Amino acid sequence: MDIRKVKKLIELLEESGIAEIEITEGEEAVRISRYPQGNAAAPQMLPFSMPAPAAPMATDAQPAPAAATNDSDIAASAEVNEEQHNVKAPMVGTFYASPTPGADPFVEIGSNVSIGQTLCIIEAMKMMNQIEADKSGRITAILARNGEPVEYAQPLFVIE
Amino acid sequence: MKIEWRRRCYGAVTVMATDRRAAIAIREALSVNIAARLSSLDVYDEIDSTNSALLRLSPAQPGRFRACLADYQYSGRGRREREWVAGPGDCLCLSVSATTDATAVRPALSLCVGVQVVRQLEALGIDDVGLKWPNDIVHGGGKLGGILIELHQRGAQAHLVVGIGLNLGVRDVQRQQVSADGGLTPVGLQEITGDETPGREQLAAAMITAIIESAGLLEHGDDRGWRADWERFDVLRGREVDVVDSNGRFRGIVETIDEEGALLVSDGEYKHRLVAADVSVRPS
Repeated sequence: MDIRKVKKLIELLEESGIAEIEITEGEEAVRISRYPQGNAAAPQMLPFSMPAPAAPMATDAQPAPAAATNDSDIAASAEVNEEQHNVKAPMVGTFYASPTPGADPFVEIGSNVSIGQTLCIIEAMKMMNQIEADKSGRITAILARNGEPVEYAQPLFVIE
Repeated sequence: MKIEWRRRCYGAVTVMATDRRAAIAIREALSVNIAARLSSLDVYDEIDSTNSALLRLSPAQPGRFRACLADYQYSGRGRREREWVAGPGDCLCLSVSATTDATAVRPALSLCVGVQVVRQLEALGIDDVGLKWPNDIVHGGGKLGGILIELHQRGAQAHLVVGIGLNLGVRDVQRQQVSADGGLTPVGLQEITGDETPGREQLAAAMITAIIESAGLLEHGDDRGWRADWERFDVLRGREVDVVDSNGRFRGIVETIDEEGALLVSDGEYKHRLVAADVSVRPS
């Protein structure tokens, strides 16, 4: 895992009210906690070898609302209901919410989408992968930030 | 194989596509095997963008390809919709599309196409062409060409379009514009080869072949077919570079690529694995 990503995760933790986050990427896992191990104030620890959660960042210390309402909520609000339809990243890359820098995003929370409609672009090595909706419905959550890296199978959108 | 030449209308102007003989000459320059896999070849004298033209068509049957060529793109695109700058006849603008199994497409295709393009140029007698990760085609520190891959994925199937822009001649105004944007200085094939520059049709056939062969190599998971040549063409290995990506900015030494085609750069303390291509790597 890129050390800069770990630094970003630490910053994210500091900015938020979250006590602890754990990220699993393939065989690598990192857990960052505000509290030292064994501290009575620490929330219950997750087993370190736990499989990747459905959401990229989930915490049992502070359940987040189901839908992100603004950009700063996005990363912390990735509680995904398994019954909702998730659009997941087919590959590792950079997430772009709009066709060109500065343009309107392809979709926003509340947008109604139909099958085949472009939701975002994921770029890796100058391959621009346009992710299309495979289900019609309403976008109720956007789980990635524009310009940020996404991992394989990471949920990007929730369509209801 | 169907060869089409079409009229294109925009505004009040109707532009006749290039002479039909161009399309026939390209077909004749292709090997029998490659020609058999091509289901259409459209030649325009000008069009918005060859990638866009193919995306508007229905995808070819699985295992077959469509190709589109233009003398001039009035809305040519590079990465993140950056304008692809070239005057009429200055650039070979060519795209090839295919329908493919979405799970079989790997970003390493981007590098593989670059390797196949340089191999084809070598076969035409154009030497000392290299690759700057992930797939800029370079010569003597200048940019000879670029590759842009677009993938439209829906469920299990994907519509794949590979676009290549190869500079033939470079005008001063274009050089200035690209330099002002901070891009690599463009270099044209004619500057390298002079009177020996291969014909447009021959070059087009070579680029179509490069793309179709790349798709074939990755389809069969055959990485040996291009990795050794990547090492040969890679111009960044061992170089000090500046990297800008979504995690920030750093300086490091380029090591190599990994199995997935990601670039490994060491900053002396850590080894960074660069996948996402909003990465700007340039010799510093």
